[in-house]
Amino acid sequence: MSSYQRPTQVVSKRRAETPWSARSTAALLLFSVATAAPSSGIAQELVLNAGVGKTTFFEGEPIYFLVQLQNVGTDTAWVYFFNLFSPAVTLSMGRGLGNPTPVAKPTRNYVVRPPWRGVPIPPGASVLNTIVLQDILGDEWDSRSHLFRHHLSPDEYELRVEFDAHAGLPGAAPLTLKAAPIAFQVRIPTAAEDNEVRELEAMRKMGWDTTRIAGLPRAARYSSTLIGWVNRRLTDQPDDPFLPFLLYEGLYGVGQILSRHIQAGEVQRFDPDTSEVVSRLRLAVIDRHRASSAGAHLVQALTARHPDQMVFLASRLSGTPAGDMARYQVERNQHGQQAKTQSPR
Amino acid sequence: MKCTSLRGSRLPFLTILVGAIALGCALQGETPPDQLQVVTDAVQTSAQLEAHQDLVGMYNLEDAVAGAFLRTADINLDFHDTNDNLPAPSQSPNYPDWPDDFTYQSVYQNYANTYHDAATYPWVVFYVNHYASNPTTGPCPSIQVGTTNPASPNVAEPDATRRSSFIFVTDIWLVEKTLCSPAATDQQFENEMIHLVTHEYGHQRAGLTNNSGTNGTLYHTGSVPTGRQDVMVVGASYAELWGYADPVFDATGVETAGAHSTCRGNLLSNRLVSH
Repeated sequence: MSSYQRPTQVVSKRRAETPWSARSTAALLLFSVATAAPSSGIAQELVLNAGVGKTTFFEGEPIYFLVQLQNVGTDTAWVYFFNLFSPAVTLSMGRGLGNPTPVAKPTRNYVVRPPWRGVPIPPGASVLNTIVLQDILGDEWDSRSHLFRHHLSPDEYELRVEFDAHAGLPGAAPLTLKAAPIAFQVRIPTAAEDNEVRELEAMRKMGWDTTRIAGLPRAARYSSTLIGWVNRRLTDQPDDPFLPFLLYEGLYGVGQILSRHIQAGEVQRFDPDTSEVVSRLRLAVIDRHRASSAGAHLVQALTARHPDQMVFLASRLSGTPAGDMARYQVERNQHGQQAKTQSPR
Repeated sequence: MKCTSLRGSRLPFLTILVGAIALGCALQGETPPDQLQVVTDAVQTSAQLEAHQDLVGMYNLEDAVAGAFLRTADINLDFHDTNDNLPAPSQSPNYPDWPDDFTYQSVYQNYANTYHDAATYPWVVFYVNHYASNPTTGPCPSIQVGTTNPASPNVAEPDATRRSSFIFVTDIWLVEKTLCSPAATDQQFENEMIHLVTHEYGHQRAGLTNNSGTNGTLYHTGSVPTGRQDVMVVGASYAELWGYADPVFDATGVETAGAHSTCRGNLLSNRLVSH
């Protein structure tokens, strides 16, 4: 696109086209728009959305953070790699009245050969990423006895995210996209909420329990215990906010105590991605949480081994965060397949 | 600093190696730029077999990485190769390949917890095999080369068991030696690996940020020699990656511990961190 479009116009247009973001104006996504002229001279119009789905969480509740980079222009945009671990993405958070400070996060690094001009984002396309905030943000504590690696104590928080879209793009004018700050509160849990957190933490500890029962460490029963818990909870409280987390990080987040037993052939490696039970539970939870960033988060969990399910989910959940995540994964897989079918130069 | 070598014979370029060894050993005699007492990091290096084989013959790799930290902040890196036959990540959904580090960061953390002897070696670099998301066919794909789990920006992770850097060596080798044209010479490939390891270890050792955007304007305000690039820069040029065996950090030259506006300042601020 060769002409500049005022951000407010762009935002209005996109709101009309994305009902899930329009419905949740209070919290789900906040956004900003930026344009810039890369080396080709073609203007780029990109929107950076970010949100956590609601404004209040109880202490210990997983906070599903969703970011979306969207091309609202009519020409393909070219950017550096966009994801929450990208070296070009900066997160910062303020607590209480404090100033935002940068957040610890693992950092990816890339190499690209000239004449690489960036990652293409076609008109209307988006790049989505989710993470549970407490995996990278808050006070560190022992993840063997807690559900997350970090802890957010009751307080008011403000989260900011920015993307240096043209980092590493030769000759491109600098372009920094900033999502609007995300404000949320963590409150003291009720007795019932606190009991649930403690119950889940007790289950978590099991993943590191070397006590032998019938010749095997107790940790070997962690996965089946978790799956049983989720199965029951899905029936009793299908909106439980822990369900997406448990079927994602919960299945991968523990288990190194078993690694040596697996290497020694004493314990069979459990693969959640080939488990029919896990797959059924994941699809049921995605369907239930499809309108939230939690649903999008669990869709992301399927991407490693179940790209086939993305097409179905993108269609069935269209117009929801979960559906948008599935659609993005479909497009990503198609792009990957195209790249693989091209011969080396 | 020591002149160790990686065993094996995948890269037969003896002539270049002789020069590389000479250069690496020459760095031993460098004098630190100030009167700070040199601190020594015990750095564990471990590798999966194929990754290890791709590094064979890089006699200057460790010394060149170490030289960057010694010149900049009087930090000496004492590498300890503990295992060249690490297993594949058993928890990876893409087993035996490495999964998306964003989606499955716990797989990386658990692997590090299992195979990093943090009590003996506070710092660790894993040279590993294929990252599932990296293309293995052409044309000349861009790839993710590494991932590091740092603490807060400009702060070394205080808990040694949570430190780790993973470098996807076989993917880098495939791209630079096979898929892309022109293919890297052995010396160019080694120079690139020197930069990549220095970059990742910079994240781990002092929480160094990437030099781009806001972080660039806040924490990388120093200078580098003419024609050079800060090793923490995002999107380093191939003139830098291939052309030099001595990575540089941005610096003003007058930093002291507590300064955070340059790489050197942050390295000095974290140089006494160990366990």
